[in-house]
Amino acid sequence: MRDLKLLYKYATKTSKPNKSKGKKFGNVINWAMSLFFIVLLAFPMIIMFYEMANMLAVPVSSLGLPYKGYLFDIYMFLYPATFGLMAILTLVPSMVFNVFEADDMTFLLTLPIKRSTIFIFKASMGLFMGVLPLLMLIILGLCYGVAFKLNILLNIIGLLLFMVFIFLFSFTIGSIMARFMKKSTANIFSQIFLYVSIIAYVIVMNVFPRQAENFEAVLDSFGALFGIMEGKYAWIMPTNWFLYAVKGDIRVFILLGLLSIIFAFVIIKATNVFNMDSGRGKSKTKKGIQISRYPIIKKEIRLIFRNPKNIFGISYAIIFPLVFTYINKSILSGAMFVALFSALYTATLSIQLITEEKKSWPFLKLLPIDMDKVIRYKAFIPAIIYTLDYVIVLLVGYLLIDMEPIIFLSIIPMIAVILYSSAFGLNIFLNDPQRSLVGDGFKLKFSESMLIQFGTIILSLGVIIPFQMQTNIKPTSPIWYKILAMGLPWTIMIIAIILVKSTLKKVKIRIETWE
Amino acid sequence: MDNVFIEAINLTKKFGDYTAVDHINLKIKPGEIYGFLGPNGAGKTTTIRMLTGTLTPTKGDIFIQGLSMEDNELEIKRRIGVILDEPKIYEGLRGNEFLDFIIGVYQLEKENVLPKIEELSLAFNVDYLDDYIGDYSHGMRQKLMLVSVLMRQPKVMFLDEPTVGLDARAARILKELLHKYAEEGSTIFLTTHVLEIAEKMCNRIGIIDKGQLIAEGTLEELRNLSHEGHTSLEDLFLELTGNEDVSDIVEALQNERP
Repeated sequence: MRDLKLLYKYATKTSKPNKSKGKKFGNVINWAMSLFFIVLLAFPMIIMFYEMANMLAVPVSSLGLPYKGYLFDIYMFLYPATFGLMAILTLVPSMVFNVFEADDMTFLLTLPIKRSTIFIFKASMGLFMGVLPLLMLIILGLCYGVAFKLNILLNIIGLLLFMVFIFLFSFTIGSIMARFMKKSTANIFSQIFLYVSIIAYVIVMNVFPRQAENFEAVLDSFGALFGIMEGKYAWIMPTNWFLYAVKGDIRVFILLGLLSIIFAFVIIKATNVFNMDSGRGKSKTKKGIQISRYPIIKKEIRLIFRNPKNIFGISYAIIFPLVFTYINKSILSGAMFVALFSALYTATLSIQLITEEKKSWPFLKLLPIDMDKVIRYKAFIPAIIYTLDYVIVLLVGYLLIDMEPIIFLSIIPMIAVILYSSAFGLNIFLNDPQRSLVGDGFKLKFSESMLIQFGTIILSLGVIIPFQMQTNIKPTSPIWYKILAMGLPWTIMIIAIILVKSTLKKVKIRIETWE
Repeated sequence: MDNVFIEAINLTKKFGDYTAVDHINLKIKPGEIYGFLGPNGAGKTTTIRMLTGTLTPTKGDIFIQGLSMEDNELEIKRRIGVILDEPKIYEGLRGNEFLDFIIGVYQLEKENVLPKIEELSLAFNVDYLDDYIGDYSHGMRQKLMLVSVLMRQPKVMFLDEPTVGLDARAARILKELLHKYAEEGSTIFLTTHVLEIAEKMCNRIGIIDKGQLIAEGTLEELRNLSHEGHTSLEDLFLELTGNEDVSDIVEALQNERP
């Protein structure tokens, strides 16, 4: 324990502190930001779960089914089964990656500290990746306890035991998986599951509350589950542990406690004989070398789709607007969100692509490649991807709900906006190419990130809102309304084209002078 | 100028007020293995980076195979091969995808290059081309970089600490290959801290200290510069770079032991 404390105190300081901020002030800001972020996530969840619990506080027996609990219990089965699993699936690879990614592992292994302590220390650094699904479960459990007036002390103990169980189970699987999983695979999987959790969060927050408004629909979809949730041995079923623990069932407390002790024992035993300085292995498949006619394009595309962060951005820009289009049965919110996300994420993606060069710098400069070409690809490829996102959402909107076909015309000015956003991202990054990187990604100053966000928001809304206005034009509409609706998108397009040209010129100069 | 493959005239690099490389002049001929030595922070890597076009000199000219770096940067990059001290390459690519990228960028002929990749992979034990570069160790990346450069067999090669991270077998093979390439007319510019390598491999040696080229010549010529009559490169290097007090320091440290 003393070793673990020492490791937490000193070995977490793997990067030099930012000198521009006072140490204490910087720490306070970091804590405040994290707290703000958690509150921002938690607040809508508390309201949603509490309201859902109240809405579904209907005894199932009153609906003619032989179950003693309430209709809301269905969600106490569904959420833990999905989010508990999601948490484990995120935590395990994240822990494995943290163990292997550690630059200081070779050094730590030379110290007279048990391997299990080092493993627990390093693996625990990956716990934050599971925050979102676990936060959902904690809030769900507390809301359940309050809404159904359970013994709150037992409720909290049950929740804590369940969380400890999830962590220790993930640690155990992590300590076993670390023997088979490679560093890059672990990284990819941990990020994929994290992003799947975020997308699931968006869907859950928007779709489930609407579904809960209709008892019959809930019963039709999930009524069969009540049979699994009650019975002589139902408390042994892992999918029921959360519900029973939150209700304060002592049998489940003992079961979770025992399992946690066993897992803790396995972790200590397994990691003490574990080779932590590896994280490598050999692929069993032989792929060979396929010579490409467009090596730079191929490289950029490979790097984009190998990074789960990028895949998340690309899919999120489609899924989120579609969820909103589906919920509101109107393309306006969907089109607005896809326009916003496309413009914003294009900048992020182009920055990510230039970050790849920074990570391997000055390798790019050793190659006989025209920098003009490099810049064009780094600006155009993200722009093409997000233009496709935009087109897909409009197409689905057109097919699902009766979107006015005139909205399709907005694709033309949006291409210019998206391209400008991409060039703008490159320009911002190259303004200070010596900037420090955070893990796999880039770090923007607050002012830079604000510039990107406001710039892209204004331009994309300037395109999409007038198109929506066009669908409402009537012969009686005032002339300024008509001019704004018809003229603004094309004016923005012309401005964006001029900006693209001048920004790409600046970017070229900046990359050529980057040493 | 045709008989000189690497030429630097008054090469200077300043970072603000700090002069990292100070008016260096170099002339290296075809077939030569030139060892570029110096203590840490002497300016070796900065010089290599300027000679390979990744750093713009503050002053001075560079010619590679007679071509001016200022006017023919891309053509020069097509002709040279570079291995930097830190093999930083795209971690999201697999080894074979990286080679595919290099082949495409240099527009190499598939029929010629694939057998060479196979030969070099076999020689350096590179049997991990299907794995992600992010999973490689320093030595594995270094070997991949070696394969990507040597498969082209460039006429001018710059190698910054090429043996760091390599196992004994790979280091030995690299040394033999470099000798062979030099015999075939390639010029090799090499920096190393392992003076034994420089002593055994290099036809000529240049020693840089505080940004200035303080000595240059064959091993014999360097020996003639020694006031103390040193014959080994290590002793010569320490004498020329003013670091002869090594034994005094060790003795003082031993006396301080409890």
